[in-house]
Amino acid sequence: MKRKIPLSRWYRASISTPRPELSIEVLTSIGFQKVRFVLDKGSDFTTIPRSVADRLRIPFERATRQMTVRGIGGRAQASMAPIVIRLFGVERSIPCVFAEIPVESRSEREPPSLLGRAGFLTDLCDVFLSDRHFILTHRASLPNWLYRIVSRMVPVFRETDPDDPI
Amino acid sequence: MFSLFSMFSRQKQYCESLKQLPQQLVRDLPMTPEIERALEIVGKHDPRLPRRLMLRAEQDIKLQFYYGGHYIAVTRTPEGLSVLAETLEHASELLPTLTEAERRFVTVMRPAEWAVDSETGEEIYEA
Repeated sequence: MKRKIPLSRWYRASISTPRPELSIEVLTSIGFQKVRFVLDKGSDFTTIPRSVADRLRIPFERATRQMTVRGIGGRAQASMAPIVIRLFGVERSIPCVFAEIPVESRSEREPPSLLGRAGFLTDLCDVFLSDRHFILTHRASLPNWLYRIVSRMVPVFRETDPDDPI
Repeated sequence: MFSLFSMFSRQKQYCESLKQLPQQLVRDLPMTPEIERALEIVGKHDPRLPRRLMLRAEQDIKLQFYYGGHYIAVTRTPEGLSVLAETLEHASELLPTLTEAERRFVTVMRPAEWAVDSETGEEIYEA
């Protein structure tokens, strides 16, 4: 299964910077909710700010696996817990880091939610990035050798809006 | 359960009942000189961008200009994206009031911050 999703056109520092964004259904305490993530192939884990997880009622155990997240902007305390996502109609659990934004860098604006590699690119999907679109290929739980054969035999992809749940 | 049929089936794209909620069509947000300049840069970067993607670029840049850095709740309409909640707090209050069927048409998203902070005037970019 392949999806062709247009890159979101962002404008930063007088430069056009297209950005891969996609909506994924995340399990919350009131049911599945579509949340748009920035696809970050350079990020190890999917990351959601704790304040956003609280507001969206994404359930996670604060006590589980405390860790420090280090990025180019500094360090933050975080806890890692699995989240349940629905991808191509199938419910999956992927590891997610819930980061606490340090008080000194907190503003009324929230940091973005990132979709990292662990659990997503490692187990579920392949991504090909071009200048206008990115193409997401779902492995459909097939063994890698069978997936490669099937993806060659089924070269079609469906045009998908960044708001459509994958 | 995953089925071959679900690969090719098209789902309904708009929710009629959400139209009754107060909302702001992104298309109707006023064009500013900053947005026009950003669109010029997008046009220069990719001069052969199809009209459909150029309209999407306008929508993305307006979202970034007006709501950049905030989590918002949006829904799709035939006229383009429409903003149902302008802050995370508002989205958090709105979502439980919707039915499960309505929530399927609502996306929580965070447009990237606008390139220049309106208060301090400093240039921002998200690494």
